[in-house]
Amino acid sequence: MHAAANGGGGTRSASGARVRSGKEPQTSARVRSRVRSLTMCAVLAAVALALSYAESLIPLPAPVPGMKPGFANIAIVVALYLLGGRRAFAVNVLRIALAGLMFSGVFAMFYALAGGISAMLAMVALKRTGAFSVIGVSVGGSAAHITGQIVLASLIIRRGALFAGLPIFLISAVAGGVIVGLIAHLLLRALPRRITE
Amino acid sequence: MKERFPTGKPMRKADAILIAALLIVSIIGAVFALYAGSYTNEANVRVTANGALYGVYPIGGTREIVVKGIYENRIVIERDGGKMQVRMADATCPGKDCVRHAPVNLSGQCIVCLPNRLLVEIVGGENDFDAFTY
Repeated sequence: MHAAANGGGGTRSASGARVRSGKEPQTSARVRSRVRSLTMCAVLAAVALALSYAESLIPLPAPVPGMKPGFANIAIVVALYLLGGRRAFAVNVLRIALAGLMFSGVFAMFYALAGGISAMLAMVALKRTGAFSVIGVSVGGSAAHITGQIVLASLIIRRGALFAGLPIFLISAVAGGVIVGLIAHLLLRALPRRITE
Repeated sequence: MKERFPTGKPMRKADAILIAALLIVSIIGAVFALYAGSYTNEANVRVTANGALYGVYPIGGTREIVVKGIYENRIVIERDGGKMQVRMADATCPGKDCVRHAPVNLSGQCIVCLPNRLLVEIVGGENDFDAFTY
């Protein structure tokens, strides 16, 4: 709101009402793109939150309790490609904080945060290499996510026993990562590019 | 007008290599964990609470252990068919993931209750996962 009001550069009449002039679209293009990108952030955060909530309501059969496909990350991967690493990270932190306060609880929030930070670092790094597609980036993020969570859990428990479960979690992470990556790929392909421009 | 986001091919060579590498590493790890976790009667149930050793109990006999921390967990060692097993019978933690966890009966397996910082693991016998301790 402030950005739009101060940086708009549009001419104003004495009464404060915006005067429509030919120059205006050009000068406010940057602001419009910023507003668009902010709006996209908010939309993706809302989508991610909704997916988190849906996933928490429908418990899928999993070999280990707490194992889940992580559909919320569809929105995060889309955010990474549309808005870049920083904005995607902001969207994810927002999603985790809101989910933690609304339904998943504070404990789950900290583990989700550990996973989210690890995943984002891995995804940004993989994306930068340019060698991976959306699916590869998503799988790498998914694997980093569970590894980060197990590292945090082991630090809290102060025993290494949890690492014995890592292989099983990694296999499910790869499966989840492929599904999430594929959906994100299809979504990105379907969205018009000018959505954030 | 309808310019699309440049996504490229859905699967590239690097993706396939990454996925294959992760799967191979985890399958080797899983096989190793399963092989190392062969059941022995000399195994113990080791309970770690708040990062400190709470107690070590022989898996030989039926037993009930109640651990009080921020939350309360009730661990049960019991005979199921021919084998001894350990399960989280009850907990007052919010998620109850520990209670939903399947009973464990192999050395190296564990049940964790993260909210209560509680770890119940089967150790000892021939294959001790203490090598993983740090």
